[in-house]
Amino acid sequence: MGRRESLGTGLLVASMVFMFLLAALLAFYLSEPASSFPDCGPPPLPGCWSAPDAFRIFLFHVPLAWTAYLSFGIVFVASVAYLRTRDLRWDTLAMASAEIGVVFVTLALLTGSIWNRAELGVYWRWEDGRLFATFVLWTVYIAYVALHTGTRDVQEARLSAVFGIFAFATVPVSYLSQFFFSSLHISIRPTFPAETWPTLAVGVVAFTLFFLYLLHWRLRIDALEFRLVGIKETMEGSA
Amino acid sequence: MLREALTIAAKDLLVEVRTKERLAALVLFSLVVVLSFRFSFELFGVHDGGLAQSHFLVPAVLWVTVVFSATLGMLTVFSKEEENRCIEGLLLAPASRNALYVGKLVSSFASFVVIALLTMLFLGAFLPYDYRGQYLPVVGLLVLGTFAYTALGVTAAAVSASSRMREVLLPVIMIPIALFTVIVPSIAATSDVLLENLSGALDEVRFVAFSSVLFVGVSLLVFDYLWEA
Repeated sequence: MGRRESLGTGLLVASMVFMFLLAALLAFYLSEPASSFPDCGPPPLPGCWSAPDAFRIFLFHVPLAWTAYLSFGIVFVASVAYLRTRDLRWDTLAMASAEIGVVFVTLALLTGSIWNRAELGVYWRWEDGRLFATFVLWTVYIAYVALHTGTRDVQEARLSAVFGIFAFATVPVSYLSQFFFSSLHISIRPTFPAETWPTLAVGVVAFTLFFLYLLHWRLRIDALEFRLVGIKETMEGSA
Repeated sequence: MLREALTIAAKDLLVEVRTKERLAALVLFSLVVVLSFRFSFELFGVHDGGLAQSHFLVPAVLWVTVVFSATLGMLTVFSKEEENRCIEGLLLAPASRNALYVGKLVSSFASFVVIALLTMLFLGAFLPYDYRGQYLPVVGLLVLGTFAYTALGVTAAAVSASSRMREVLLPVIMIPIALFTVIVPSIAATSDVLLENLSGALDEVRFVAFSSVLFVGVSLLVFDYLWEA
């Protein structure tokens, strides 16, 4: 028990250290106006930003999106592992990871659309293939979470595992969609100036550690819930 | 493997031809959906040749109807085998599980293509719409898109077969996955064909073909693990 507690505390401390570092870098290192982006006003052209200072939201957006994809990757790997081993712990891992991934992808969608508003004046563009693909990804994993009620039922675990695999198959497809639907995708390729890279790296590490911390606790909660169910059953049996 | 698969497909098609249970229900369903669209478009004055001439509207209506009918049909692919415990015989037969997948894919695909073509006919007759003479390309797109959707659906149906409640959730799961990989590119390709933008259509056709290869591949990899040992 003590080892698990200290793992949780360690992950919390480590992720908070990196979060503070990220905040400090944003506050002191990247605080002056972003002069390295040429401001050309609307319409946006490659390399031109109508709201150059709004780029700082990417330092949250990119780590959030990365963590979301990491969690969906874990769902995929755990689903494959469940089908091969029939060990319900893999199923629990997939469920926990998907739940947290949905939260992160929601935040990535929100930060992305805030940037969209600042840069292009609208919160959402349905004609952008990338936005549409991410939105579909969001609905797919919401369906996964809705399906997976966490009752440790073998049939449910099997269905979730197959769904987890197919759901991940749509991730590369949604990326490839940019190239297939070139006509739909307005190409804005924000190039990050070199001085933002360290901050971005700190952000990715901070959010990955925070994700692991949440995952750790989600798994602990599930284990405790399962123990509680066991205790209730024994009590009902003895009564 | 191929011979066993074809035996299973032939068995299914024979049952289908003799009972006509599923096919009749699906044809009626597709007709009802098309007529619902027809009467809701009445509000826009479709009979004056207004919206009926929209080459963006017709592909969407066509594909939504085809996907709804195929989803309905998918629900019975494996659950009908449960009735006489036929599924146990199929699983015990000296054939690989992948043969079962391929067999079910072939037989479901054959029924759904018939439904898709009839839907195209219904739309043409009742909206009415002439497809601007592009009958063959639209038929080709229907065949390809239906195949891709069936490749995903057969696996999904296999998982949901043994539990009744899951059948309700099946469309909720399947349609978001198919939306971006099959449905939207098919709609885009169909309207490109109707507008005679063949190079645009070719891109989307390649995309749907890629998705169907992906779905068949993933299905063949996981299908063996779907059944209890």
